[in-house]
Amino acid sequence: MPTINVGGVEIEVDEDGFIADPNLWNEAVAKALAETEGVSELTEDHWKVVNYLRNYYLQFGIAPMIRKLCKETGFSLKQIYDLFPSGPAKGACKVAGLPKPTGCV
Amino acid sequence: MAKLASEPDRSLCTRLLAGPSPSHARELAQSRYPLAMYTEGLAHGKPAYGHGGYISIPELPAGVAIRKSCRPDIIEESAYIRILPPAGGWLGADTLERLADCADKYGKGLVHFTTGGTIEIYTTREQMVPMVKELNRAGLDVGSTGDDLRCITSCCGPARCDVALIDAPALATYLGRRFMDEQQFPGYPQKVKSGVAGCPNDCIRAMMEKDHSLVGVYRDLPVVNEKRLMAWREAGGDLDALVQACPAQALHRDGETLTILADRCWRCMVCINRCPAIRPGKERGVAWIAGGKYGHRGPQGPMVGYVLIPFLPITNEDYSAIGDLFGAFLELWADHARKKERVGDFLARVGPLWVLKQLGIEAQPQILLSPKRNGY
Repeated sequence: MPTINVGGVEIEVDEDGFIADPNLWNEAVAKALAETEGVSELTEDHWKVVNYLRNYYLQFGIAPMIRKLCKETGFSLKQIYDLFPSGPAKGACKVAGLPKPTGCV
Repeated sequence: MAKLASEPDRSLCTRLLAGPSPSHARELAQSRYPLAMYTEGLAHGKPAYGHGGYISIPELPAGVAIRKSCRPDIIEESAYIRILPPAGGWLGADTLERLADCADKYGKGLVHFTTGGTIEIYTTREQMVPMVKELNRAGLDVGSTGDDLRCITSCCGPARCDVALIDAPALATYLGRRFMDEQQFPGYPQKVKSGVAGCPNDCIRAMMEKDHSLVGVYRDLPVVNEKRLMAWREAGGDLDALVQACPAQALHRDGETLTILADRCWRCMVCINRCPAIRPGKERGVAWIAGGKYGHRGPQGPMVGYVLIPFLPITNEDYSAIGDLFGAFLELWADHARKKERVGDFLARVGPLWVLKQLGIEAQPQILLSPKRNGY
């Protein structure tokens, strides 16, 4: 299984780059995952999306619907694509340390 | 299995490749499309392409997709971009040349005008972003794939048709521009297709095919021009057949005069289509219809749309009220639909009256009398 290096520690990811064990996620891991997504700097807006996804996942065990994400964070879908070029599922969920969402989102 | 050769086995396409008439096989063979994939399908009686899906290309949230290949040795996959078409399918020679240049430079030299109204160019994943940038410079953009608002198709409208009641391409262009983000960023529970038809003939089959459509209608009665009716009769027009053809038995013949019974007329187009002396009424607007689909998935299967509002007036080419309604309905559906539930299944589940109530619209008697038979 491929890995990413976070401060000298190897973290396992799946073939699409999603974290294998969501429990190993922390802010440093998020920064490392963001770099694989072409996001060089995590701004306050990035963190707002990431923290929302993270908290929703910890509470319900799944990723939220895209519309819910937009409504709760106040960002339009377009703004989320601006923050995470791969989109809410492949980009934002990856950075937030969620397992790969199912379905073609 | 058919033999695999570097030169495609064209024997199965021989008749399609020869002859003077237009031939899709000849067009395919002239491009860099692998004709072997087509002949492979012909040889086995089923397409050599498998089910596809939406792919994630950074910078391109929608407008890109693939079809899987059953013969990866011939072609790994068929990746394509989908271009939002100008309303009514009107494309100038210059635009066609830009499209051709893009298809040649970044794609397989093939452009596909789809039955759904979009334009597709076959290419590879790597070429997608540069091609879209070039298309943007030509004033075109991609979208209309995945769970988003699909391109808003329309009939040719008054730019060429003599019975167009409303300017369908203008309305489609207005809606397309206003809801551009919805077409390019997939955030809905399921796809939603839209169409604008210029008259109740509905040449683009909006009522049956589109989730959410607008059809041009008239509210007053068809107008009979006595003088032209006489000329039509003298040229061999059969008045009895015309009276018989009316599905609502609303035409009444008294000697040589023809009258239309106001309480019977459905405001369809049958007499207007058959006789040039009868023209549509002057009071025009659109009927708002939702829930049509050809898809077999979902509990309802294929269905004809429900008429939700029989008549919405259009004044001074101001489409903003129609746009407001269009957007409000999409929001309502997206907020309340189940995952992967299309508009038709949603409407059948919650009921059209619930939708009208939520949107604060008064139900009209016509939609209860016959919600699907008569949109006019």
